[in-house]
Amino acid sequence: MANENALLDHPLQVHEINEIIKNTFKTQFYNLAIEGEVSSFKPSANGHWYFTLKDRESQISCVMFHSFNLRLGSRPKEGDKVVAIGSIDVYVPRGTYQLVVTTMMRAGEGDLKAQLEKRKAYYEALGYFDMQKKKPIPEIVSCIGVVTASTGAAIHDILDTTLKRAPGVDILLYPTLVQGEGAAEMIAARIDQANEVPACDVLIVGRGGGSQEDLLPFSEPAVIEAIYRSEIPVISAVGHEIDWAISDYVADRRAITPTDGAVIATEGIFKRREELRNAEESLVSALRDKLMNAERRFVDIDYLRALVKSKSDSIRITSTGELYSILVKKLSSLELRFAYASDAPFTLLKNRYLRRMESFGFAASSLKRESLSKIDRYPEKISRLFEQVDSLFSTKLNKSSARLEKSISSIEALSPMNVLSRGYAIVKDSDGHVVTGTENLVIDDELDITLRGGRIRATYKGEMR
Amino acid sequence: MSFETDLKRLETITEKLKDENTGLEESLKLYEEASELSKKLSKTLEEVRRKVEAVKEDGSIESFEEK
Repeated sequence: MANENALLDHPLQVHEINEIIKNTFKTQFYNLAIEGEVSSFKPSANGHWYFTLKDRESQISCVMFHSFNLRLGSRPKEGDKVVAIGSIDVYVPRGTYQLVVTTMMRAGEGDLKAQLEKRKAYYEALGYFDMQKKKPIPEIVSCIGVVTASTGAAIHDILDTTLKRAPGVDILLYPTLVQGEGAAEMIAARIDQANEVPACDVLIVGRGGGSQEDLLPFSEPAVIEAIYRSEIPVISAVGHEIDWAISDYVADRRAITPTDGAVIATEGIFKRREELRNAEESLVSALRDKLMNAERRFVDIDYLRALVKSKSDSIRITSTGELYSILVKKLSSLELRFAYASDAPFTLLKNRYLRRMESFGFAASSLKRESLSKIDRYPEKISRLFEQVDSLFSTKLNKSSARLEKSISSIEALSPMNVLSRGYAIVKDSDGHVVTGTENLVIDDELDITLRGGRIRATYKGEMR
Repeated sequence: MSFETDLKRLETITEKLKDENTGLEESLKLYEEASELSKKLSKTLEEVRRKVEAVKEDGSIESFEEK
């Protein structure tokens, strides 16, 4: 029996036919999209998914390897209608085949995505997403409008976050359905209603995260158009799947979550609170520096006065000529010692001062007014101190000069010149010795007589009888 | 006065306090002014108790308590 097919010239081995089928499938059955219901879903220990896709008449084994199923947002459940994309692979040792799935989506999702893309492009072409049409979120808001469900995470997070960041801002909730039939129309109606009265400065429109179907109302034309015509700036805050809902594109601002929406709405107020807090802090620290510096100077001057006083008490003046230089030296050594010594009292004072600051908060009245005004008169104090020192020394100087004058006059009282002025004279011989008697004199000896008003040369003519 | 003007004044006072030439008496007066100012600003930002209300579909407003 002749056969045109050379393959059948001889019987094929089992593995040969399976390999031929494998190769045929490989070249013919790739990149297929297969729609079916997930069943017998079994994830393996190493992360691969094994399951069956079936419809009413048939079924096919499927595997989705870990590296591919990683990229899916969620794992399918038993009974889910899905579209799996993949290729047919034959397992030669068993002669079985399966679909090796590379990606998978819910049935109808592809259509939905395409439909949404089309809608997005439509509104984009109409200029709904233009940046120059976006209204700024006001810096200062006194009331935030919220269009979301009255129960659930979204409203809870918004109330919580606004309370923390801007506790004085009112919240006006426009409760609405956020998913399912009628949700889009209701959301739109509530946005319009919020615009009827000028109550809210900004609107947060959103909901917490959910499946893509759950988020659909936020991509419905009714909502898109209501956001677009809203006079009040709108923040779109649809949970987690950023840029999926078309409301994100048409809104004036997009937020990742309702919490993020509340953060954006309170940004201006929050910034002001921060600014105010910073301003208060630097104000307090400026005053504290000023007070500490003043108190330090106050202590400095007290210390200096004490030192000068003790020093000036111990000064002994030895001669009038040195008085001035002593004064200068003493003062400069005082200054030097003071410079070295001034740190210690300051440290003590600082501790005391800080305690005081703490116990009074930062109330400036904690420092006594009178002591403050004393410090204010610092230069005046210094000059008065030096006056004091000056007068101390001049008293000493006066006393010394008086003593000097007295001794000069008593010395003067003993001076021979003084005796001469009363008419006495000094007689000296030719050798210059003072002559006090006649015993050593010889007739015609030359004598030298000193008077108050001059000297006389004389000759000895003998003793008077 | 606006928040910005008041905040600016606070900052100006702080600069003056930092200036060595500002005497203590004057510093204290400035500080008192600044305290008043910052109290006033905090009040507008924080101390007002907020209202949380819900608007019904018929437009009537009721106080809102989270359930």
